[in-house]
Amino acid sequence: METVINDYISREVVQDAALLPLGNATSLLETGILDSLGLLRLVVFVQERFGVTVDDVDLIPEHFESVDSICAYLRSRDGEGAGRAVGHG
Amino acid sequence: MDFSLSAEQRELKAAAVDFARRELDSGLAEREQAGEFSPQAWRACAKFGIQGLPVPAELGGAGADILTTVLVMEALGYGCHDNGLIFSLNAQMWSLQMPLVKFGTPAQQQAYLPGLIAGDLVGVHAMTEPESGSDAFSMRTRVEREGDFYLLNGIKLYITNAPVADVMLVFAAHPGKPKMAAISAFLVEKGTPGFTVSRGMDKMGLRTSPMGEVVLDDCRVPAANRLGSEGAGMAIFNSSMTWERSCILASALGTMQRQLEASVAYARTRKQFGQSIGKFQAVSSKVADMYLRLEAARLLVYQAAWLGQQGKSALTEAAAAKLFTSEAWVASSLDAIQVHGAYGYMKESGIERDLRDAIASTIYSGTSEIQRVILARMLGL
Ligand SMILES: Cc1cc2nc3c(=O)[nH]c(=O)nc-3n(C[C@H](O)[C@H](O)[C@H](O)COP(=O)(O)OP(=O)(O)OC[C@H]3O[C@@H](n4cnc5c(N)ncnc54)[C@H](O)[C@@H]3O)c2cc1C
Repeated sequence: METVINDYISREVVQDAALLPLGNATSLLETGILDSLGLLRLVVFVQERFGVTVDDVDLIPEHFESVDSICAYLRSRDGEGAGRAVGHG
Repeated sequence: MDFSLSAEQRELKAAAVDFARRELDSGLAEREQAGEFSPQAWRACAKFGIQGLPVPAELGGAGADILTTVLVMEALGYGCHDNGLIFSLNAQMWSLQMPLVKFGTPAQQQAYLPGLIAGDLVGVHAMTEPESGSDAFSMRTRVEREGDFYLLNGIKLYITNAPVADVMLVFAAHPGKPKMAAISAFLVEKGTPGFTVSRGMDKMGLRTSPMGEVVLDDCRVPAANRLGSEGAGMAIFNSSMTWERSCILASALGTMQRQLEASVAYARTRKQFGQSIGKFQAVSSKVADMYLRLEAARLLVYQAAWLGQQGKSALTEAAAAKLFTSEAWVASSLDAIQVHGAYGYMKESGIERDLRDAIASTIYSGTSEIQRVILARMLGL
């Protein structure tokens, strides 16, 4: 899961190549990698890729601080479909 | 997606048109000229059940699904010519009530939702500032914790309902935190020390919807009035904006329907050069375009509402619905004026008012340019 999310953020969200390669613990917020629309794109990706519905109330900074915290949040949702990769890649 | 209406939805729509015609338009021309909000119409809407429509039944609302709510707002836009009143209702429903429903504690919901639904309270959210509009998260309003209170300092501008508001959802930033995590939202009541509506603002359109500037000067808000967790402001704002963009222009569908019907009727009866003006293709093409825009806008709005109802992410669809419908409304108003000639330009026709009201829709809830930015970003650019 970490690799899939790290790849997506590195490919689709990071604007400044100097921030690559992206560490899983790197703060997406302190570095400014994630802006409001970047977050919402990431949510659409995560929902499609992992078959979960991310509720608006869960879009808080703690859950999107880093690749690690995104994965921790998704794992906490396990049993609701999170972690089950759907699609390909 | 099946948008065929149930018998109940059809009845509710008809009842809303009937209610709007009977109770909401009296004295509109004068009120519009004077820029006056109608507390009577506000309460009448509450009595009919408008404000409570999307609020779940267990929180005192009607618990209507979002598509039904959209249909009723569309009916309101068709029957009621007071777009300002409808805008004020929308502002409260989507930018304050829905955040309370989604993010509020039971105590917060209990404190405000019953009054908002009953029409006893008026509310809205306050985000925009003199220095931050489209770039909303770069706000300057600051918040600092002081024991069991938060101190808010800053200025909020272009705030709908402010002069008559009893409660406002105010967004403010914690200094020193990254932008994405810095914003929190607070329920601030009228009369809170340090909270003032410093001036009303005069507008081109939507003149029956009051607007004002809010000054927060060491405004002391109890910690219990923070909505959501510290730093949840962006989540709250994004959530309410998706609802708002999906639903706020449902009433414009009704207004465009009314404009279309009036334009067809006028083009059939008005004669020039010995025939109905509708026989001239330059006129009939305008009417055809009005129909086309209306139907496309309707599908986009229904689609966004339907997605929201399914609990699916509707950010892209909401931006598309808001962008297309607002621009369709402006174009439809211009076409309607043109079809009606000088009469359309006269205040007594009411069509020029629709145009002034429509223009605002390309600015509020994110400008047309920002909706295009959202669409492009979501498409991967
Ligand atoms: C009728 C009405 C009611 C409102 N009610 C409320 C309310 O209740 N609460 C509240 O908080 N706010 C409210 N607003 C404010 C509204 O949200 C802002 O006006 C809006 O977000 C735009 O901000 P701005 O006016 O500062 O324009 P700016 O952001 O200064 O934009 C000026 C121009 O630059 C363009 N622009 C800006 N950034 C970009 C970009 N990145 N790409 C392309 N173009 C760009 C804009 O599209 C616009 O054309 C209301 C506004 C109106 C008109």
